[in-house]
Amino acid sequence: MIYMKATFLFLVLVLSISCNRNTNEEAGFEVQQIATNESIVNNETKKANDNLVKSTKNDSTEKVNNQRQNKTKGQTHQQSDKKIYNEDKSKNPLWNWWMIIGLSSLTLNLFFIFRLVKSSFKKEELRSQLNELKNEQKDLKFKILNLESENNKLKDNKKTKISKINAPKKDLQSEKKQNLDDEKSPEISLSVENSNSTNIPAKKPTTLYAEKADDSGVFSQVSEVKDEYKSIFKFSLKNMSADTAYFEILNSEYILKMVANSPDIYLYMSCKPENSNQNFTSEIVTKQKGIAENIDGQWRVKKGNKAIIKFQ
Amino acid sequence: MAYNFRFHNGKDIKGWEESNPLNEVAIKAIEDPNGAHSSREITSIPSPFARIDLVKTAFKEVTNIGLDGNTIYHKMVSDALDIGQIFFEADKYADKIEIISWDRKADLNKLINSSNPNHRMLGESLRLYLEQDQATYNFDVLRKLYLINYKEGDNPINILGGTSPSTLFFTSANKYVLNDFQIGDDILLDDEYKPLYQRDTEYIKYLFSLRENIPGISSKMSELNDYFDLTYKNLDLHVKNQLKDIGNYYKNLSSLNIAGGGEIVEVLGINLKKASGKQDLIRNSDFVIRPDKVTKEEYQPLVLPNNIFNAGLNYVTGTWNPNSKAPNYDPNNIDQRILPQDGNKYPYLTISDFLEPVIIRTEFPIDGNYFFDGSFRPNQDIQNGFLIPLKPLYFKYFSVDNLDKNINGEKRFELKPLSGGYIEVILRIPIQKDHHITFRRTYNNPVNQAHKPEFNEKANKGTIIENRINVGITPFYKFPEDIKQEYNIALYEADIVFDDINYKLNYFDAENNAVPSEKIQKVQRRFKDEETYNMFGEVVQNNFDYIQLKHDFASGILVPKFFKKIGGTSKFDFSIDFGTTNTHIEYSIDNGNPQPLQIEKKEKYHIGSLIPFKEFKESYLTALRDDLFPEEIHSKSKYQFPQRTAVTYHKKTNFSKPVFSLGNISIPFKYEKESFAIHSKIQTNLKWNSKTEENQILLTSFFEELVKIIRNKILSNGGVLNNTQITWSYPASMLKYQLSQMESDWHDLIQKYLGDKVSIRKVCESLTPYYYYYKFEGIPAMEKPLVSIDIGGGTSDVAVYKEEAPILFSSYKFAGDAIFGDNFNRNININGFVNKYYSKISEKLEENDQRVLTEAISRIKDNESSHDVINAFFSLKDNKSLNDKNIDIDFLKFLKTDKEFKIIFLLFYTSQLYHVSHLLKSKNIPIPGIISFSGTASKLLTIIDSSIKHDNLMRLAIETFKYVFNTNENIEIDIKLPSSPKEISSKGGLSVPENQNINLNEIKETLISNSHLQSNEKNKISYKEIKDFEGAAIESFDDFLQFFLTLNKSYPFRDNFGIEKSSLDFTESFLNKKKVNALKTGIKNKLNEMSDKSDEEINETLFFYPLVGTLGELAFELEKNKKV
Repeated sequence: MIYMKATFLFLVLVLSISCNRNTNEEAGFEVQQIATNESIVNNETKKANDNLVKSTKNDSTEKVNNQRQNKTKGQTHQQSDKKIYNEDKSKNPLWNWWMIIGLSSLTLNLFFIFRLVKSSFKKEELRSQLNELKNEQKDLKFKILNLESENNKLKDNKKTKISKINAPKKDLQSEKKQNLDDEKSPEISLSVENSNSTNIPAKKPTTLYAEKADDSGVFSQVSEVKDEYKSIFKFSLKNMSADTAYFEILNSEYILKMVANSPDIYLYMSCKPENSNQNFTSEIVTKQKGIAENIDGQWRVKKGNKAIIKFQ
Repeated sequence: MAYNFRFHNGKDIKGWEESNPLNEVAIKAIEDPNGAHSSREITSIPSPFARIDLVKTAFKEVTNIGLDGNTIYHKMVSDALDIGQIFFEADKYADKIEIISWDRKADLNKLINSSNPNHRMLGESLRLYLEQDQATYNFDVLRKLYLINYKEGDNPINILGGTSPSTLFFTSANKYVLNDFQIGDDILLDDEYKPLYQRDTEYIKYLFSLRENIPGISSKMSELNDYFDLTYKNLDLHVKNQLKDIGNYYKNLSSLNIAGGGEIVEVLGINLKKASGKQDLIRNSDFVIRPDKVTKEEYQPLVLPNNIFNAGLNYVTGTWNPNSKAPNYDPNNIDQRILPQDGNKYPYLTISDFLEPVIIRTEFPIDGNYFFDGSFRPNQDIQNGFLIPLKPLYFKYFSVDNLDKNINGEKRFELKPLSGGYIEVILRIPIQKDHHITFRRTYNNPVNQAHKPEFNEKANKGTIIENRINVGITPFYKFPEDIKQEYNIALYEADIVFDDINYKLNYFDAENNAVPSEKIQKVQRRFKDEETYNMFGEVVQNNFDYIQLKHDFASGILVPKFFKKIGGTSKFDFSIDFGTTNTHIEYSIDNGNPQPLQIEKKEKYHIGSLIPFKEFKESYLTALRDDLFPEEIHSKSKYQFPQRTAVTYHKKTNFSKPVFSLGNISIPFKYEKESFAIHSKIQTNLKWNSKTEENQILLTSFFEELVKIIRNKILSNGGVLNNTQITWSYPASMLKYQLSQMESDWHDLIQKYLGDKVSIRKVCESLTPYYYYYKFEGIPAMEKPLVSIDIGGGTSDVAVYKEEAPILFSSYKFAGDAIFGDNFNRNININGFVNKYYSKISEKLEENDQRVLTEAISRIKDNESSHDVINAFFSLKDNKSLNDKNIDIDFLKFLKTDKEFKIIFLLFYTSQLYHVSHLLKSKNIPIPGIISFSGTASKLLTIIDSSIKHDNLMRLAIETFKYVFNTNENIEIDIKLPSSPKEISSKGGLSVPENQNINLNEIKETLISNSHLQSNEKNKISYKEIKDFEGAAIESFDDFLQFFLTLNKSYPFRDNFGIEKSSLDFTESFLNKKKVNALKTGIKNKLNEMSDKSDEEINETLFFYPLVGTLGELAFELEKNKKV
C-alpha cells in the first residue's frame, strides 16, 4: 500500500512537472511570438504590421491559437501564422516527448487512481467483514462466559453431590479439607483470544431460549443464552431475522421438575397438555411444537399455536 | 601552638604544672558537640547508677531549659515519667509487664558471695558505688530497687526502667518497641516527649500527692522537686484546683504490689500506688452508647468511630483525635477489649459488632409494607431486595421500632445502591451528648456467584450473596399477653448455586432473647429434590420482634412491621356451617347484618410475606398461598367462602408424627381453580363420622385453620375475644357420641386460640334456615306450619315449625349425591352427568384459553369422584378468572336447558314433597303455608323452575299435598328458595335465639314407609327388623311413582318442563325394573354401615332407597339412549 502511495505520489510529481513544463513552454511561445511579430514588422508593410501588432496586442495571449485558426483573417495573416507555427515546431523538438511522458503519466495516474478506488472499496468491505467478525467474536465470548459459568455451576453441583456422597468421609477429613482451597472453581481455559476468530465462519444463530409466557402469551427473557435454571423453552428459527419460531420444552431435569409441579405458572400459557401434570414422572414430551411469533419485538404465542405436551 | 587535649575550657597549662581535678564548673565548661540535641541515649557508662545520675541531671536540665523541648534531657524526663506511669497503670499492663524487686542487702550479698568471680566483681563494684555515692543519690536509705520487665520483648529479660532513689523513676535506655502502651494519645516510651503537665490528670494528681508524702523531698530529690514546681505553674487551672483539694487522694489509692502479692513497691520507704480502675472514668466518656433499651450492663460500651470524627467529644482522658480510627473489627470478647488509642481495658463496639460481613440479597424486592427494608428502593442496576445485615447485638441496645427513625436529621439505618450492583449500608449509633457514630460498609458483588462469599471485616469490606428465599408469617400482629401466642412461619428456599446449604430461623423477643427451642416446632412440607425448592413450616409459640435468617454463609435480619392496633371493643359473632362438601362461615359485628367471612385487601395483617404478593410469579413464591393461605379471600377475589371442605398435605406425610395446621397441612383455597404440585395430596369429604385417626387429624387441622382465621379477623378488626360468640352447626344425623366428640374438638380449638371466655354454642344445621327467614325475611310460622327442607350434599333435613317453634324433625340420605354421586357401587365412568358434561365444559374452557382451570378439573376427575367433579362444575360459575373475562360457564344453566335430565330433577323434587307430606299427614300436621329450601343442593330445584315466584314448584307442591292429603280444597303453599342457599344455614346460625335449646330427639320422626312411623312416642323398631319393611317401602314407592305419572296428566310435563313422553316411559319402566334391587342394596349398605349396631332404631326412611340407587344410573341410561 505504501509502495502504491509512493508510486502514485511520484507519478503525480512527474505529471505536475510535465504539466508545468508545458505551461512554461506555452508562455515562452507567446514571448517568442511577439518577438517574431516584431521581426515581421521589419519585412512587411507598415499597415499590415500595424494590424498584426494591434490584433496581437488586443488579444490575450491565451487566444493566440484561436487567432491562428481564424480563417476569416487575411492571407498574410494566415501565412504569417503558419510560419510562426512551423518555426515554433522547429524551435521545440522536445515538445512531443513531453507530451508522451505527460500522457503516459496521466494514463498511469488514471490506472492507479482506479486501483486506489478499487482497493479502498475492498478495504471498506474487509472492514465491515471485520466488524461482523468482531461482533460475532463478542457473541461467542459472551456465550463462552456463560458456558463457563454453567460449567462452574455444574462443577459446583457435582462437587456438592459428591460431597453429599462422601459426607461420612468429609467429617473425618474436615480438618484436612479446610486447608484446601477447593471452594473456588478451577480456571477453565476457554479464552477467545487464543482462537483465531477470523477463521470462524459467519454463522447466524437460529436458536433462542425463553422463560415462561405471561397471561397474554408473551414470553419473557428470550435470549440466545440458555439459563440452566430458568430457560424453559427452546425456540428454533429459520434464521435470525425470522419472525416465527417453533418452540418446545427444554429437556432439563431441573426445569422439568419445576414446571411439572407448577404448570399453571410455567406451562399452560403456552402449552396444551394432553394429560394431567400428576402423570409426570420424569419427562414432558412435546408432542407438537408450538409456534411463537415476533410481534413488535416480543415473542408471543397465539391461542391456536400452543405446543401440545404430555406428562409422563 | 600546642594543642590542649581536653574536653573543658580553662587556663592553659605549660609543661608539668599542677592541675585541679575536674569539678562542676569544669564539667559545665565541656561543650556538647550536639548541643544536647542528640537523639541517641547516653550509654557510654553501662551502669544503673549512671542512669540514675543521668536522669537526675536531665530533670535539672529540663527545669533550667524549660518543660517543653526535644533535647535528650527532655527525652529522659519524658521516659522516666512514662516509667512512672507504667507503674501507676500496672494493672492495665499486667499481661505485658512484671515488676522485679532487687534487694540491696540480700541480692548484693548473693553477688558478692557468688562462686562466680565475675558475679563477685560486679557485686563489689555495685557495693562500691552504693557506698561511695550514698549521700548524693540517697543510696543510704535505699532498700530495694524495682525494675519493670517487658515480657513481650525479644530477650529473656527486657528491663524498661525502674524506681530511682533520686528521681523516683529512671529508664534503662534500652530501645523497645512496645505494643499498646498508650494513654490517651500519648504512646509511652516513644520518640515524642511529653512533659508532666500535659499528661493524664490522674497521674499528675498521683505524683503531686506522692511528693507530698516523701519527707524531705526538696533536699533528697531537689531536681525532681524543682521540676514539679515548674510543672505546677504550667498546669491548667482546673487541674490546679484539683490539686488544691487533693486531700486523701494518695491514701485512697491502692498500693502497688508485685504480682498481686504482699510485696509493696516503694521508693525511699514510701509506697507507690496504682491507678484506681478507669472504668468509672471511661463510663463518663462521650462515646458511651446511648441505647433505646435499658440494659443490665454495669459498664455500657463505647462506640468508637472507624473514620474521621471531629465532633470534639471527650474520649477517656482527653478529646478524641479527629484523625484516629477505631478498628473495624476486634476479635476479643467485648468485655476483654482494650480501648484503642488509650490502652484501658473497657468494652467498646466496632462496626463489625453491628454489621454482618455478608448481606443477603433476595431475588425480588422486599415488601416494605410488611418488613423493614432499610428504605431501599430498587433502581436500574438493582432490582432485588436485601435482608438487614445487622447482628443481634444491635437489638440488645436498640428497639426494632426505632430502626426506621431518624437521628440528628438522618436515618438510623440506610441501604443505598451503588453502581455496579454494590450496596452501601449506613448505620448511625447514638452516643452521648446527642451525637452519633456513623458506620458505613460497602458490600461488593461476589466475583463469581458460585464462590463462597469472601469478605474482610478488618478492612471493612463486605460482600453480597444472593438467595432465592421467601418468608411468610401469619398472623401479622403481636399477640396480647392473655391469649395463646402462636405464629405460623413458612420459609421457602430455592437456591440454585448453593443448593444444599442449611437454613435456620432464630426468633428474638423484645428483650433480645432468643425464643427457646421448646417453643418452636418445625416440619418440612416441600422438598427441593421434588419441587426445586424447600419449604419449612415453623410454629412459634411466642411473640417475637425480629427473625434472624441464618445459613452456612451469611445471616440477615427480618424485622416484621407487625400490626399494633390489635383488638378493640366490638362484639363478633361467627356461625360455622361445616358441610361434607362445602364449609361456610358468616359473621356479624355488634349484632349487625351477617356477612361471609372474608379477608379483604385492606386487611393485610392476616398474613405477611417478605416478597410482595404481586411478585408471586415463581413457584417457590406462590406456594405460600397454598401452605398458609391467600392474602385475599372474598367474593371478588379468586378465593372465597363457601370453601370446599378439604385439606392438602404432602403425599408422604406421616400422621403418626405431629402435624401442624399451616405447617404441613392446610386448606387448599385454590381447589377447583388451580393445579397442585405432584407430591401434594388433596383430601376432600372430611367426614365427621370417619373412624380413622388420620381423618380425625385432617378434620382437626381443617377446623384449626378456620379458628385461626376467625381469631385474626376479630383481633385485626377491633374485636374483643372475650365477647366473641361462635355457633357451629352439626347435621341432625350425627349420633350422640359423634356429636360429643365434635363438640369437644371445637371447644378445645376455640379455647386454645381465642381463650376460654369465648361463648361457644352448637345448633343443628336443619334448624338454622328457619331462623334466617324469621329474622331477616320476617317470615313467622304462626297459624300454618312452615316446612324447612335443607338439602345438602349427602343428607336432607326436614324441620316443621309452628308458632315459631320446631314441632317435627326428620332426616334422610337423599340429597345432591343421590343425583350426582357414585351411589350403590357406581363409579365416575358410568355417571351420566360427568359423561355428558365433562368434555363439553373442558372444551369450553379450552376455547376460552382457560388451561389452568381445565387442568384443575382434570386433576379432580383423576380422583374418580363424580361428586367432586360435579362440584367443580358448579364452582365455575363463581370463578373469578372466568368472571373477569366474562366467560359464562354455568353448570346449573346447562342443566336447566337439558331436557334429557330434567325428569331426574323432577323426580328428586316431587319425591321429597311426597315424603314430607306423608310425614306431616302421619303426624296430623296440617298442610304447610310455606316450604323453605336451603342447603347447597336446593339450587337444583331451579332446574325445574327458575322463575322468581317459583310457580312450577308451587304447583307441584300443591298437587302433591292435595294427593297425599286426599283433598280437593284450594290450598296455597309459598315456596322460599334463596339464590345463595348454602349461606342461609350460616346466616341463620347467627340468628338462633339465645335460649333456643331444643332436643331434636324429642321431635324426631322417621317415616319408614308411608304406613310406618318411627316415633319417640311408640316402641322403637330396630334395624334387625328392617327387612320386614321392604314390602311396605316398595308399596310406598309404587304409590309415589303412580302419583308422579298421574301428575303428568294433570300437569303435563312436556308443556311445563319439556320432558318427552319417551323419557317418561323409559323412566317408568327403568324404575320399576330397578326399584327392588335398589331398595335391597340400600338396606344392605345401611346394615353394613351400622355393623354391630343393628339393634339401634331405624332412623331413616326406606322410601328413597329405590331412587338413591337408580337416579344416577337413570341419567347414564338417558344419556346413552340419546346417543343411540
